[in-house]
Parts: sequence; structure tokens; C-alpha cells
Amino acid sequence: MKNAFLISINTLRETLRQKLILIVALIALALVLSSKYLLSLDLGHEQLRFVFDFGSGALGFFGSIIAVVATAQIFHNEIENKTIITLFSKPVGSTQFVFGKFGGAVFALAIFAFVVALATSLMLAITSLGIRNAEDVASINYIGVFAFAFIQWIKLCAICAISAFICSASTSLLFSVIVSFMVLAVSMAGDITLRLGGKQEGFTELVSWIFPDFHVFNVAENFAFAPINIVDFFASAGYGIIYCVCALIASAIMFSKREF
Amino acid sequence: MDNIIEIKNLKKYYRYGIRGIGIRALDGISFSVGDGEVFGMIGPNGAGKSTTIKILLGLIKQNSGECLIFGKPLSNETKRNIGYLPENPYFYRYLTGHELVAFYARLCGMTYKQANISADKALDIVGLSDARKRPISLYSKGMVQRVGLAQAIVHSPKLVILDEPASGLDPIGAENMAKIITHLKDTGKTILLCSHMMSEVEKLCSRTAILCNGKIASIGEIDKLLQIDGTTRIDLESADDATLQKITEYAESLGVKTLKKTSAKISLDEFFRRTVGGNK
Repeated sequence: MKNAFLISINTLRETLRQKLILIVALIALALVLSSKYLLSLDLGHEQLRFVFDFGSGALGFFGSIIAVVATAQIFHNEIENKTIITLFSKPVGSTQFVFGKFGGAVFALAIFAFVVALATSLMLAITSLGIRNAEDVASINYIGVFAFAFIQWIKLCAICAISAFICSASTSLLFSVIVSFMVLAVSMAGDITLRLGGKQEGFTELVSWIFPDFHVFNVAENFAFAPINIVDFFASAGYGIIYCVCALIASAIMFSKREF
Repeated sequence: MDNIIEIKNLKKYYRYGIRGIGIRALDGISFSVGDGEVFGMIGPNGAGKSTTIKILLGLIKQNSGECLIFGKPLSNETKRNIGYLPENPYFYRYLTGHELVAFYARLCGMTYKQANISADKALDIVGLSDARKRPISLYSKGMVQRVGLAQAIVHSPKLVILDEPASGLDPIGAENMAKIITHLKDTGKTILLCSHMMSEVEKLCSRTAILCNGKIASIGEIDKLLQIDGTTRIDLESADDATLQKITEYAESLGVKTLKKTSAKISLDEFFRRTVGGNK
């Protein structure tokens, strides 16, 4: 795993130097930091919820864009620039390569998720200063905000993993990005359907096995204003990790069959 | 001499289109490279040189045939003893020369400290010590080629595979590259040199294989391959026309036939190097 780690560190350096990703991350951060000023009414607890929703929205929306674009770019850059040839001439297998590249992308996303969680907590603290009801202020669970960010990061990891699988089969960056966003759309549609009271059965259940099931990660939204439910926390994190490992193993198998 | 590379009846087809029409890239080639030997592989574009190297490194799979390195099929263990410089190498532009070479050294199993020491040593061998802290994006073509060679030798491999090492280099750059390859040869490395520059192979290799349309058209020691049977060449200095006439008459009196009489020449490569080198 040493080689996978070395590739991850190198990939992280590459990801952090991609201007597009930095711009998206900065927009997300700016959005979170401006959340307080977008609502001038004093709505008490609802105002805190509004600020948190901004943070969670920025993390989910912009994080998904970064996850898809960064993953597709780091895999395809390696192939198109032919640096993969030099890499594979060293004692590096396809599994180490896939896990290493994935590691680099998710390290970058971890930094992003941490910064957004930090900014959200900061904005919640600033907003709470102007709220008179002590109960509303006391309801904020700052550790819960970070626990939520962690679960959202796991969700982003699942998006990276499915994107890595698509990259392992695709020969063009554009194709990988488009198909990854389609997968994202299917997963989001599934989540919305379940939120509206739909059920997973038959075909939809099969789809939820293949595509990341975003509904599993929704439970974390309650962590910011209530005690962390340990069972929910580990259930959603566990699902995400297992999904990532399965997708990455499939991706490594696909990569081992490719010729460069 | 132990064989470092052994290739037996290697075949490779590339398929394309819905009907899977195949292009025959390699058509049953066989050869071996001995320990400490500099072996050249030459041939026109599309002859199968790069395909052979890619199969050797496990980047592509052969359809049939056997390919052994150090007497074994390719594995991560054997890869630790192989250094490879690809054709037109492209590296991570955001890394400095030292970071890049140290990164590849660590992938080959070196510790952080060992990798840094070896990277400095390899960069020194290829003459990039001064540019070690410069990003690759600021390197010239020749420097990229040299940093490519540095990453290929940083882990002291027994076998070095060079795919068109002088590609795109000016004659002076090519000569520097040749000097480095000669240095590697002197340190006992086995070198597989793939090129379509005949002069480069002639100068550096002891044996060569000429590939054409995926087959070996000719293989053997270069001196023997280039030798014209029954002829001898003597280069003379300060011989005027009268002296030459006398030598010719004497040779013919001994029953030796003079086939060709021209003044000795240097190659255009050599002439260019002398001219440009003198003006620098």
C-alpha cells in the first residue's frame, strides 16, 4: 500500500493545483460565508437552519462537481499525458494505481469538506450571536456539523469511486464526466423519490445497489441540531466505505485489462 | 553469458472495428539479450520496436509467445530491476526534477532518505544537478529527456530499456546522451536500446536486431553484419597522389584488387558537433 500512498500524495498535489477545482471550492466557501447576509429576517432557530443548509448545500453541490471533475481529470491526465506508461513500468499494479489516484482525489475533498464545515460552524456561531432565544443557540451541535461533513465526504468518496470506475472503462475525459454526472443524476433522483415517499422495490432496488444510494447519507443532516446518532453515523459511513471498495476493486480489474 | 531478456516466438495483433480486423504488430519474433550487453533494436516506424518493449514491461499483453526477464515472467519483483525511458517522455510538470526522480525512486521501494540521495546522484550523472530544483514545465526537450533517463536509472536497475533516447535531440544533446549510455554500459548495466537512428545504434551497441513488419529481418553482432566479406579498409594520412599510386600498384602486384579509393570522411553528425561545439 506504500506505492498507493505515494501516488495519492502526488495526486493530491496535482488536484490542488487544478485551477478549476480551486475556483469551485472558493465559490462554495464564499457562498457559505455570505449565508448570514442573504437573510435579513430574525427567524430564530430557522435562521440557524438556513445558515446550515447553505453549508450543507455548498458541500453537496460543489463537492459533487469537484468529485466528478477531479476524479475524471486525474485519471485521464495520466492516460492522455502517457505518464501512466512510466508509472506502470515501475512496480505499480493497477490496484495500487486506482487506489492511489482515488486517494489523492478524496484527500483533496477531505480538505474541502473540512474547510466548508469550519466556515459553516463559524457562520452558525456568528449568526447565533444575534439570536435572543438561548434554547435555539444551545441546539447547535458543532461536533455534529463536522460529523455531518464527514458523512457528506464519504458520500463524495462514493461519487469519486463510481467516477473512477467509469474512467477505467472510458477513453475520453468528456465521456467520463458526462456519464459520471448521469450517474449522479440517477442517484439524486432516487433520493428525491424516497424523500417523497417512494419505495425501493424491484428495479429501483437493483438501481440502488449499482448506483450510490444517497438516501443513506441523509440521516446526517440531523446531526447539526441534535445529538449524533451513532448507529446512523456508522451505518451510513459503513455503506459508503463498502460501496467505495467494491467500485474501486471493479475499477482495478477494468484497468488491469487495459493496454497503454 | 546469462540471458537477461529472452523472447520466444512473440506475436501481437491489434484489433479494431466491429469485425475485429487485426493488424499484425509482431509476427513471431525471438531474440535474447545477455548480461552486460548493449543490444540495439532498429527498424522503420511501425516495425514493432515499441510494441516489443511494451510487452516486456507488461504494458500490453502478447497474443502468444513467451517473454522472460531475468529468467522469469514479469512481476513487481523483476520490475524493481528494470529502468525504462519511454519515447517522447512526458512527466508531471508541477514537480521539480528532484521531486520527480525521488518519487519514482520511492515507487521502486527506496526509503525517503535513500530516494533523495539516489535522485541527486542520478541527476548528477545526467548533468541536471543545477536544474534539480526547477519545475519540469521549465525544462527544455533535452532536459526532459535527461530527467527521463535519471528516473530510469535512479534505483540502480540491472536492465535499462531506452526507447528512442535521442529522439528530438540536437546532435550535441544526442552525443551527451550517448556518453551517459556508455557510462551505464561501463557500470555493467544491460541495455536494450530501441532507435531508428542507425548511427546511434552503431556507436553504442554490440549486437542488434533489425525489425521490419513485425519480424526480425536480421540479427547479430554489428561488426559482422556491416562487414563486406573479403575486403579490408586502410585509412592513410599524408599520402599524396604519387604515394597512393605506388601503394595501389604494389597491392595489385600482390594480386589484391582496389575496389574504392576516396578520402576518409567524418559523418555529418560529427562535423555539426565540431562546428557548433567550436562556436559555443
